[in-house]
Amino acid sequence: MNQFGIAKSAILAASIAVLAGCSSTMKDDMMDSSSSDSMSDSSASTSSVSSTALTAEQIQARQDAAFASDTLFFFDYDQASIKADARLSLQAHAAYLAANPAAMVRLEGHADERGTRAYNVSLGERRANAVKRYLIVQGAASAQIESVSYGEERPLSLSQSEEGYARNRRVELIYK
Amino acid sequence: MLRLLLLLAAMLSAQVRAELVIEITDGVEDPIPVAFVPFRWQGSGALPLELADLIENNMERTGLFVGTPRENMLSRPSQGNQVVFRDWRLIESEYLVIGRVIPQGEQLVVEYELYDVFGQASLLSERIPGSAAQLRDIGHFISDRVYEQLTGQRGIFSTKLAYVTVEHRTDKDQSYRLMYADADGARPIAIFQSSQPIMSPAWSPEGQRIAYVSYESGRPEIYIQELASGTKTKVADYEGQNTAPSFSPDGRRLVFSSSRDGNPEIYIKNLRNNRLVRITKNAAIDTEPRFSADGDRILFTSTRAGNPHVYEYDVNTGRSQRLTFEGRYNSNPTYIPGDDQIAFVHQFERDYQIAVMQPQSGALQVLTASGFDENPSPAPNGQMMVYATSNGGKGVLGIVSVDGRVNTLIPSTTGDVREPAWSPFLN
Repeated sequence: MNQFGIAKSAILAASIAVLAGCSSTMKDDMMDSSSSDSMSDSSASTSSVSSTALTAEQIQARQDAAFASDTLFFFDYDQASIKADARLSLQAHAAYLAANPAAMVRLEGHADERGTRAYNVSLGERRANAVKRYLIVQGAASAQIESVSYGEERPLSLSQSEEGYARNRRVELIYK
Repeated sequence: MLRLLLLLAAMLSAQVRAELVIEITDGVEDPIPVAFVPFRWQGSGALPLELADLIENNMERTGLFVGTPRENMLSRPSQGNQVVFRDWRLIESEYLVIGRVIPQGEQLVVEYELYDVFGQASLLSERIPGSAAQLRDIGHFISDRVYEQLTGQRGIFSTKLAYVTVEHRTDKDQSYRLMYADADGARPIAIFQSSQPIMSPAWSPEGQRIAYVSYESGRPEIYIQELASGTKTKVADYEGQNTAPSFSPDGRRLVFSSSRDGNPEIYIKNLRNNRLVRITKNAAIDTEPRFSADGDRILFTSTRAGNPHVYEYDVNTGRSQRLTFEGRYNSNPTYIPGDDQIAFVHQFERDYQIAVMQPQSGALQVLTASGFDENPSPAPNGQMMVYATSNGGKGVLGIVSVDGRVNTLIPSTTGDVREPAWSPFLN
């Protein structure tokens, strides 16, 4: 998260507004195990404590954690719609991009190995475009976002199992 | 079904550096027995290749023929006046292939003959000059001649395969190679390599160029590479993803999918004047286009009805028609030369398989069963198709007869093998 440290104060105001309006709980099973402690704490607190009761530090910690750990967004089989549990983190990315017009992000769309390769490039592109549209609706500029699809060429998991496939159906968000 | 399970690795001599090894997994009930007598070498030293082995392997791989075991042979003729038909009738060989290799200075001449044992007749007798380095080509040529004489169909043993191999270390550390090899997998050469993905090789109709997708710039763009010179030209670097190239039968146009206008649509590019024509327009994915042999129609995959299905575009009317209705996923279609069927990838329950279908009747036949089968590419004689499959978690090539009766695997010894494309006839 350090690379985004400079943006903390800039996005703070925006993220408070975003989080205050967001009632969805965070899902942690897609997150890296390295995500900070504040992640699980805050996901529990979202429903029980109103966001206005959080201190600015708590909000920022939650914001940073979501921002740094969530660069992978997963999709259902042959689908390109963003899952509800991805929205909070994507809103944070959009807020960062809106606050930092010079920031550029590359979205890499991926598919699992099932189905044909060229088709899967188009499927991965749809996933990247879904994320791109969401970021733009949330305030990022189109010019800040580049997207590419690798189809099934770059699997995260080589396991020919449901778990492996689920991990490979993704969009990766990479700051440049 | 007769399971031949012939691992030919042992039969390929050590000096043959074949990367791909053929394994016949399903054969026909009653292959025709043919005796391939070791060719007599009249020079000194050893030849780099035993032609009878090569020809026998080629013929057996079609599933239509089986070689007579050498230990059963009662005689080993190398020219016509040595043939005793009774020797071959007794061991029930229906046909006999004999030959000899004669040195001629630095060069050599191969003489071979094909006999009908029960008809006691010579069917073929030819003399082929060449060099020791050309023996493999000569063996494929003889295989083509024998196959055509016995089946009435043109042989494909002198054709080539293009395919992609990947050595995968991590999701971001991969080595891609675009390979060019004999139709039996021998003599593989990398004609392009990259740390970025290479996809969708497609032959030009005269067999001198290959179009493919390369991510070397960081995103998918289409290139055409001349095989003889290695020269590579970028032909589609539009914004978005440029994928799935296929040549028109006159070799002057390229059809492909591009999202340059925001959504994957199918375009035809004239390679002479660079004029670009868009032929699909809808919010769905349109991709994997392939020209018919007459250039009047284009098969493609579209999700316009929700799930991916096979459609056919009529170049003259500009109209598209849906061809597949069975199952929830049909994609990557191709025409089959000289056949009114099309081949594509068909999902049945959870499995992806190669299927053929007669578009008029809609009758669909599934040809393969691994569950991970894709990318059917027919041989130019329309008798066989090469496809990508998975064996023990590794990508390998399979070859299946269009009637589904013969299925062979070509296991790879290096990396994952994928996206095979069978060349046209090259002579």
